[in-house]
Amino acid sequence: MSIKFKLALVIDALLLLALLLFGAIAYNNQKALLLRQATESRESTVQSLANVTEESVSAEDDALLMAYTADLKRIIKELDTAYVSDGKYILAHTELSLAPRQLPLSSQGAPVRTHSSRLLVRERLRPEAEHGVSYSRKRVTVRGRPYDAVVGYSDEAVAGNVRRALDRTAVTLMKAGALALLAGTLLAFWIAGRMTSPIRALLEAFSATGEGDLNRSMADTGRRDEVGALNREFNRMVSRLRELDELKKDFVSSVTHELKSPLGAIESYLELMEYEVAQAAKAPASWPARLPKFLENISFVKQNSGRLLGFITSLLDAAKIEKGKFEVSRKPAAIEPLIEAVVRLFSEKARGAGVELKTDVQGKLPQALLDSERITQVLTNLLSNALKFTPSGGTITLAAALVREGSGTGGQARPVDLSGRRALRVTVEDTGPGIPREDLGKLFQKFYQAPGSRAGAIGPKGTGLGLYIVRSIVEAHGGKVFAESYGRGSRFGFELPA
Amino acid sequence: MKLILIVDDEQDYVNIMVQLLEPEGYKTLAAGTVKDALHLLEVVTPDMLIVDWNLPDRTGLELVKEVRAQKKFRKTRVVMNTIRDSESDQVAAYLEDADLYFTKPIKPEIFLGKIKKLLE
Repeated sequence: MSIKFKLALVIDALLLLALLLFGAIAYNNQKALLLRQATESRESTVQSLANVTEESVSAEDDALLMAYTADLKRIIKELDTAYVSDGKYILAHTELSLAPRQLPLSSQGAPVRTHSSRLLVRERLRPEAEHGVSYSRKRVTVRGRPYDAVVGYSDEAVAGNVRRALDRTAVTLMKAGALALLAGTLLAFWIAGRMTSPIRALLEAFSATGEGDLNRSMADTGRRDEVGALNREFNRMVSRLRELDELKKDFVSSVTHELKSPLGAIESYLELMEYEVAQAAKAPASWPARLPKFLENISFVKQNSGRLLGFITSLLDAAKIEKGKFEVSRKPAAIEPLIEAVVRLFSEKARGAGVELKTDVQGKLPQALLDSERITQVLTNLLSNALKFTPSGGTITLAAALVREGSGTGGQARPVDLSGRRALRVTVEDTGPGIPREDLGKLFQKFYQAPGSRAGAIGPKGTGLGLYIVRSIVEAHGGKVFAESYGRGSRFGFELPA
Repeated sequence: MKLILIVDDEQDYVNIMVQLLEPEGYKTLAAGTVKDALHLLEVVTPDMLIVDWNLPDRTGLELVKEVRAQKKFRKTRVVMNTIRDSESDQVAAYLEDADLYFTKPIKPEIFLGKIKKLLE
């Protein structure tokens, strides 16, 4: 059952409950009102009778009183009995035959007590009256003599009147209730529809996203409630999914490229060498002239197979990091020899690219717990990145210094660490195009390559794994990595606990 | 002497093509990006362009399109030499009026044979 239907049902049930409650209250109020009206009518009748009694006794006009009393029955339907007595005589009675008569009356030979008007009118004189009668009594005194005016209403007649009136009320209430329920149901469905339509839209977007459509987004309606929050969270989720999807695509394309391109180059070199050998076989005298190129081509084959091996190693390292099986074996060692070795390794390449490679090691650095091989890998990676992005005529500076841990890296203000723990900070600074601020934080993420970075790069495209591995190695040493860029050039580095 | 402009960002392929073409008497020039290639094309009108598809700044196919739009290159032969080996890519290249489509790795005899024929 849909939420819309459930919601409508609940609203409807509440409405029905309210209607029933209201109906019951209205019904009871009406009943009480009708009963009060019956009593008031009786009181007013007895008052009138008393007035007429007073008047007719004063005027000694018995006929007026008798006619009025007898007439009452005709006028008032609920009236059972009315009479006037002075204690000795019944002056007037609705039963014309009973007035005027002297009291006590006798009924079937038995005397009837004068005080009991109840007996007088009902049980003795009107034995057929089965139901109760309610009386009102009023005493008037004329010329010193008391007269009693008595009016009795048949309970049954009053109840019948009330019942009929209540029945009419009930029918009216039911009609109104049914109408209200119908309108309420329509309203409930409308409200439920309005409340659930954003949820349905979200559901539809979710299922489309589940099917792989990552271009859905929910319009920001400015709602501050849970639905608005859901929409915002959905958009955040989809944008994150899109990012991941981009990363995946980039990775697949990088992997394909990084595997195919050195393999293609190796194969092409081998084809070329085979062709060269075939040419030389045709003209053996040309071989000595061809040999240096031939040997150079062999070195290019080696270079490409090295690149392939490096890439596969990176992939394996990344897989190890993912599985949490990446380990470093740390031993006390100095970092200077590692820096020197890496600089030596890159000096020729830098010269070839027209880039100046400088080192800046401040003072005598203490030993640190290092995995020399892994830290060399880190330095190699940072340096080869710098070389890749530094145009001819630029400078790369590899610096190392002892600093207070977390004492800031030059750009961002950080709280001064008072614990005084020292750290080895190594930085590689280049004069390349720099990196947009928004990309800096993502550089150390797996597979991330800053958008548009390849255009300025020299050499192979890269896998987006290098800096991820760098970070993992440094963090495995208990250190941390950082990247900075101030519009021109960028600085990558790391700190290791000294 | 015929002039061939090689547009490829992979130094290895440039190297191999130069080693194959120069002994055959062709003069070669190389560019690593579409931007650099367009710069060179402002000053030279090569007899042939050998263009890689995946270049750092734009695609090689875009370069072909731009070259084909210019009158002064109407005699220039255009060859695609790429790792992309799908039929749809080949069709796209021929639709832009490429004269030849090679897929890497380079097969020297076929490569040279077809290029010589095209430049005759």
